[in-house]
Amino acid sequence: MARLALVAVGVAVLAALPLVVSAYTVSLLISILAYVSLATAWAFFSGRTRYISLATAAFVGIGTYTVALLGDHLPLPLVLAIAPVVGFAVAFGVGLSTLRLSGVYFVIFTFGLAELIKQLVIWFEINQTKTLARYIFVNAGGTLIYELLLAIAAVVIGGVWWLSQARLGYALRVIGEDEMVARHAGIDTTRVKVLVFAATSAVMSLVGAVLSLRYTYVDPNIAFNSLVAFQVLIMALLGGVGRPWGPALGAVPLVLLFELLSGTFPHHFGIALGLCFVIIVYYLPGGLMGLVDRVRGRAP
Amino acid sequence: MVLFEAILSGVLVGGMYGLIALGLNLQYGIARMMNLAYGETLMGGAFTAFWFLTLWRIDPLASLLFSVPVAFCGNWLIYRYLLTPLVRRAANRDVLEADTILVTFGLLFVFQGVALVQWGGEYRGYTYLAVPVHVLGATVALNRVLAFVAAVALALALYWLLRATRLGGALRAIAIDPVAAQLVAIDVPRLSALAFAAGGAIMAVAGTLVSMFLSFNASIGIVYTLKALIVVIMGGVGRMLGCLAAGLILGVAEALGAYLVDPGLTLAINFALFLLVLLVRPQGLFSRG
Amino acid sequence: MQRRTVLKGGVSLLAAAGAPMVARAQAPKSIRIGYAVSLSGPYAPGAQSTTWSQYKLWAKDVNDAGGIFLKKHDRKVPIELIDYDDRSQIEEAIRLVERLILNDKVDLVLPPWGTATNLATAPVFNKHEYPAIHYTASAMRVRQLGPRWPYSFWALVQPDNGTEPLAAMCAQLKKEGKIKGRIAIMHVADQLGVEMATAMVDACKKAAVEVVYNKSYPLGVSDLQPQIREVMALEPDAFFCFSYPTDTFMVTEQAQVVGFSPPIFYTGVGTPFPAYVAKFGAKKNGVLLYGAVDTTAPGQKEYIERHKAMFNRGVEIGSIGTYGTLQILQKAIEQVGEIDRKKIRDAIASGTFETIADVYTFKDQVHQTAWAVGQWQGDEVVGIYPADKRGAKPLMFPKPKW
Repeated sequence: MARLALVAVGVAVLAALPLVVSAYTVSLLISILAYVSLATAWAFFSGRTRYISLATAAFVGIGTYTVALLGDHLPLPLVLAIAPVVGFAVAFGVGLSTLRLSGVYFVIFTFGLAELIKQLVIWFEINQTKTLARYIFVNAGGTLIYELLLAIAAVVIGGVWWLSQARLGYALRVIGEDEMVARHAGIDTTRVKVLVFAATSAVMSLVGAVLSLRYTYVDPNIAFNSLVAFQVLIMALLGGVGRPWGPALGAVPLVLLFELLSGTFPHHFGIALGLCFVIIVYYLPGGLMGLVDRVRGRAP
Repeated sequence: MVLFEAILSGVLVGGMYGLIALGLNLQYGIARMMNLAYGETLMGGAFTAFWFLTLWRIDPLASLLFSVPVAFCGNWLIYRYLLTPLVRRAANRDVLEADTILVTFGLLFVFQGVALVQWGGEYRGYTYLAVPVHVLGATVALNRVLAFVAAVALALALYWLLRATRLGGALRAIAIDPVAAQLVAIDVPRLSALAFAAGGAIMAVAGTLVSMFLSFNASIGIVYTLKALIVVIMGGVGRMLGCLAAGLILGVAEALGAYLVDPGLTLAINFALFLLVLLVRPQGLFSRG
Repeated sequence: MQRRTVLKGGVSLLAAAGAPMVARAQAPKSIRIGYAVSLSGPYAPGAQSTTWSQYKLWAKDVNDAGGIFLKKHDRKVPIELIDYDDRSQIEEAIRLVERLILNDKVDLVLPPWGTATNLATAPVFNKHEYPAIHYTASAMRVRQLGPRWPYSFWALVQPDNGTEPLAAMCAQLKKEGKIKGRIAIMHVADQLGVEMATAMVDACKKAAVEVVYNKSYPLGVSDLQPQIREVMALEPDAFFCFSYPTDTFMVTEQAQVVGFSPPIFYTGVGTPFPAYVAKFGAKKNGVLLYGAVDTTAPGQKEYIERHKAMFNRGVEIGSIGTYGTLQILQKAIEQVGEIDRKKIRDAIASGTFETIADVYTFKDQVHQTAWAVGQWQGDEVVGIYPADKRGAKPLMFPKPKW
């Protein structure tokens, strides 16, 4: 109970931050919170079941386009409610059709899917609207976006923490270890996988929708940016996918590292970032969570 | 006639897809290393050809004498000194895969960053063998034909090597089960390094040939890595002829799609076909089991 | 804020007392100018050659001359550049502009590279009232954005201005009986390509010339021959491809291979690049292209020399144009005589600026008479349309066969 109170106080402090810090810090926090939510959601499905998805960009993009298409016509809360529903529906269909795939096949399938969706959106826009540009003139300041993302991040991490201790988290882990065993243990693997995939994808769409409020200008290449998928994957792997806090622990330092490097070594960003990755893999096996465990003296 | 030329044009593009995927098929299919920095070797080969031609008027084909050994040694060093420690410490294949993805993702940034600093980011291209060849009344460019011929020759050579030689047998054993291969006295680390290095060498060839008809720049590598991955997965991991066939199918589908449906949909058709193949045959078109 | 007010008060007081020496002592040590452009990622090729290199060269030129003259302090003040890499990501670009303004508290911010990045960061510039002359951005929408974004200026030709002269040219040639007036359009499926093609179709409708083909192809396509063949079969006498560098090179090479050589052959971004010259040599003669500069503009020759000395490569019209926008900024600052962003904005909005690329004036914040169409004539890109501009040359027609 004391821990819960501590967390509540922590969230309250974070929520009050925009009152005291500069707008630039808020924008940095926005990035951190967005990636915390994305990485946590991603890891809850992909990290546990070992179905590595590269479709993150597709679901973020679906959220972005929901705002771009509906932002002018519907009130903002309604648009933000629709985005995750669309993401859920698409992911549900995808989940059902990809059940037979596993390992690297699933990875590449999800990548191909994201690219296919992007190509189709491009084609649709060209033939329907005769332009690729969409403009989002929703009146949302940095603070509102920050508070929304904070709420999402709190709910997602809390939800993942709670579900990890519930039957569902256990079921996911068994699926990740051996799907056959999971089935024999009476787990409806299909239902668990598809529902969790769809739910975590809905979170991604919601994050994409909220982030797009900052954009003004959107086109498919921005909305469906495959780099986002890779970054989320790297963050989760860096943090460690096994624990509720792991992905968040990977996202925070990486966003800060990106920020530091792009300011300090603007011309050598790639080199510096690449070397950081190599060093992390060799000197931080098991991700940052593994390091935390070792410091605490627990077995990894 | 136009239809025939469209198909022929697609076949040539398909050959190029097969060509860029062959090396990855060796690295991932045989040496079992997911190398995200794979496309950077292509970028290196392309830049080598470009600089040799622009600075010293050396024929791009002759530049292969330089870029292929360099790519071979470079990839061998990467395998030996960066990836082998990961193989040794990995508790299981999942951990190894996650580690290699992270390390090679890092290498991708390093190589791309070095190329950007060294050569700048602008587009490069040169004209070489851009002469029309007439095949049964249709016209195609000689440089594209050359890439196609190289793809077919390399795919057949690798197929023969893997199927008909002792070395090939050992390599296939590694691909199927490295632990068991070790038990039957196959030098797994050495042969894996060899396969990985050979994959890099083939990518240097692909880079040289592709640079003859497609412009490139320092950030182009990842595009080819992802394209190669799709072809490898579609054709079946470790299957050399499957790889070529998958490339051809994608190329012809693109060309037919452009001609019969809408050129704006070529890439969409490409991805849709790939996804469909995966759904119907999850292990790739030409894999058993 | 407080300190600045005190400073300003102090300066005017001392100036009134006729003590210029003291005023000079209080002049800023440097004018701090920041920017975030794509130094890595997919936008890096364009951003490096067109934008980043020009920022560097301009800063060097200004500082070699001692700096920008600030009347108020009666002295030249050098420029200090603060550069960031937005990694070709919109989200980063937005945040880095905020970082420059709020954290680094720079005096001015230069715009990023690319239509998308410029449009996405424009609200930040305007929110904090930082003037920006956007060069690498072209979209129909900017014409409506003026009142919303008073601090944004658009220096490049926009899709409608960029295509109307092309349609008019075809109509004229048709009237003279030189072409039949069958127009084929191909375009890359990216924002600029799509908007140019759409504007071109509209312009052709108005000019009563027939569009026999108009289709897109995806960015990153690896073969355009089937499409070129389809176009060829329709026997157009004017071919317009609103393309990006990779496909500009590809469509030109493949048109040569299959022998497609209509009397009017136009390609988009990439046509004036040094790489294009290296690749196609004399065959470039007569090819029409997107944008141009005034080759007779004073100072351009010297600029090209300096550019070559600094980067050891040729220039392209985009980089000359970008450099021109920096000269506008410099002149506006010198007119105002101090770093007062509101006044600088007003100076840009109302002035006429002679630069090495063009004479720029902004009406409704858009450079309405921007160079629309250029052409390779010999070894030079010359401006063709608008035909009434200084330095405009007559159209070379027909384009020589490949």
